[in-house]
Amino acid sequence: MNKKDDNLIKKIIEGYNKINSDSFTLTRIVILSLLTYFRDGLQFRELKNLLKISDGKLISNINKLNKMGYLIKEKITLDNKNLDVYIITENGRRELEKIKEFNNRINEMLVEFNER
Amino acid sequence: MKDDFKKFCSALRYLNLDLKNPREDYQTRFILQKMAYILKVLGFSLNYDFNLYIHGPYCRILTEDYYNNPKIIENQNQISEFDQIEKNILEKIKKHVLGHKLAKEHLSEFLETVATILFFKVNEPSLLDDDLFVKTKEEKPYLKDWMITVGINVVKKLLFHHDFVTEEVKKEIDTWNLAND
Repeated sequence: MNKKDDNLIKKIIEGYNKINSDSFTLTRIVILSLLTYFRDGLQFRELKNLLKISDGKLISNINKLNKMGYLIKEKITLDNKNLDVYIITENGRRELEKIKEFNNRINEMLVEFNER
Repeated sequence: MKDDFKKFCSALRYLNLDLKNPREDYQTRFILQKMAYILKVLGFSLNYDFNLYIHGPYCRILTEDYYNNPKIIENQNQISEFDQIEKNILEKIKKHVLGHKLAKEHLSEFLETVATILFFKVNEPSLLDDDLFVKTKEEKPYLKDWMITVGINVVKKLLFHHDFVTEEVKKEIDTWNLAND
């Protein structure tokens, strides 16, 4: 194995160690990504409509992300109706950034190997 | 601050909307997004691009603008002048959207409905009422049927141009009016 490969693998392992493995599920990554884009926050019904998953699955993922400090639930009033809106926290953004970096490293490795 | 955002804020002032600090109030943020889209589609020159997905019509750049300048929304000082075309657009919105009885108690939902239907109609003008209804319901299943039906009618009024009424059409309308009498 050459030095370049050594470095790539080392970076992947470093990235892996930095990521909170509880945040690394497809549903949670998508929720965090959406909340990053929609800075205003998203309502439960909007997330549900997009992800097409059951209420229970969505709630458990949201609660987990909330417990880890990656999103907060904000009580809002819309047309006199009380609703919950989910907003990403600074910790959530940082975690997503780590995941992005990790994915970049894997992509880098795959491109490198495919070119050979 | 961008001129587009200043102009948008002036339009809000003209429309006399009850808005709070967008950093603190979700309903204000919601109204800002939908109102900017309706203004743009009706011909107001605002350089914002919108997408429909999930929360739409929604513009990320507009979001940054009101987060960075929340006070101007709250204070709503009128800083831009409008030409006659822009005034006509604002009056149309006042009459058909904000003046509608649904806007009194369901402003956010009503704006969301109208903006969503406008998005579909403008991007695919050949869509008929039934198609608009189905598409809107698919995209936003939580909107009530009657809200969508009213929204479709409001969108027709918003997109109507008086030049559509040619002499021939006028004659036909007059004939029908006489028949009614």
